[in-house]
Amino acid sequence: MTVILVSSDNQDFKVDKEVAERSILIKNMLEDVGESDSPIPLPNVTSAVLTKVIEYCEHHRNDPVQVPEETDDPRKRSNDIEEWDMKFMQVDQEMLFEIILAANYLDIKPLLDVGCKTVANIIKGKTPEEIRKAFNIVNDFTPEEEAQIKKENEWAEDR
Amino acid sequence: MTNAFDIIRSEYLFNKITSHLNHTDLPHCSVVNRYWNSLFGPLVWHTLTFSENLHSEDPFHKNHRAILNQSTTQAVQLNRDNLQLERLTIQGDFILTQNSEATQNLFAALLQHPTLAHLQLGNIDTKIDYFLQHLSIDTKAMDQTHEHLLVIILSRCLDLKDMSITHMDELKTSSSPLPSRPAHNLAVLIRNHCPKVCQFPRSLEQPSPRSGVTTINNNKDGKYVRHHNDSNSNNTDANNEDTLRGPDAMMRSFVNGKQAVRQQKQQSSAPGRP
Repeated sequence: MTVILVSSDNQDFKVDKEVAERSILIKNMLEDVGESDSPIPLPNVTSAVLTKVIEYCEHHRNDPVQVPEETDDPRKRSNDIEEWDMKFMQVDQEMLFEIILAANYLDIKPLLDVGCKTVANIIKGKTPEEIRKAFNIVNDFTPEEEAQIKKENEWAEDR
Repeated sequence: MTNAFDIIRSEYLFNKITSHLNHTDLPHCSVVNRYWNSLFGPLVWHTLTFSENLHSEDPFHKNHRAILNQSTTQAVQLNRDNLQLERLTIQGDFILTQNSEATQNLFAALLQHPTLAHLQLGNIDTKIDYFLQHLSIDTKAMDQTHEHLLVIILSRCLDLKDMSITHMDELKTSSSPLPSRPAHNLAVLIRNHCPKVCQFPRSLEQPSPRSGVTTINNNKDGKYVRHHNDSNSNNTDANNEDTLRGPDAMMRSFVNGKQAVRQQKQQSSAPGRP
């Protein structure tokens, strides 16, 4: 069985139900509506992003349903991204941002996790200056303020 | 054009991303710019609640847990006293080892404490003086790490932007007089007068003038000035500000304040008084 997803720019995507149901949002919608050929509008997802999301869902169509994570999980690991997922996430920052938002909206937890881990990996191990460069951020601290904050944070780093 | 980190506008996604960052990354993030500092600054504190530290018997982790638990208890007390800490969502005094989000809220709330924020207009002595009036601390058995953290917490609460913790050694050697360094002065005060268990009084609202107590009020121009209310003199700092400046003055007014509280307690517990 297939379902039709309609992106915000009115493009239709015909996908297997099994693939579409990687999205909990769509799964719930299909359960609520029952057997129906009506297209499912996704007003928050553009066709470019939906293409990527469907690509991800196709690849992971046979994955087991993810066990809910522990709420009080301490620092999680961000270096356990599969190779395919890592390549999949090699997109520009704007697209990465859109994929994360779409995964959040469509409730595709594994994709959301991979997206967040990818962003975290952009930050990890970088100096403040490198982070600024990575995200194109302007430093609005005075040198004195920056030094003061660094000094205050020393106790956290010296461990 | 957006970048990947624009998703920090969503609190949920921000929390998801930062959950993958560790105690080295978070301090770096807090230095990126002012906006990032407002987001990551509080998170640096909750790195102390990571599970690897939670049950650690390492003295360093134990010390940090202890000092942060003290701060939390204070904040809970503040919240109970309805001091407009809307962002403080702490339940109980257990949070630092249980709920890192609450810890984050704690520091965010402390930084925005309106009662303390309005003191930005005053000078450092005034701020410290005002704060210490309401804080009864004892530093016996407090080590350097405790001191460092407590001074940072206090300096942030008081918005002492010009106060920097430059050299830990200076805090250690509190016997060497460095009157021009507010951080040092505060550290000395904390070292000499801070109890191990910090306690806030029932309320941090403007206290009513008491004998021997320095209080802060609005003057005609809307500026905050200190008034030293003493039964033997009618001095006010507005008229005689220099006499109460510097570490000695802080110490004196602090000690005066403590004595006044003690006297008040004795009086209220005396027979025939309610």
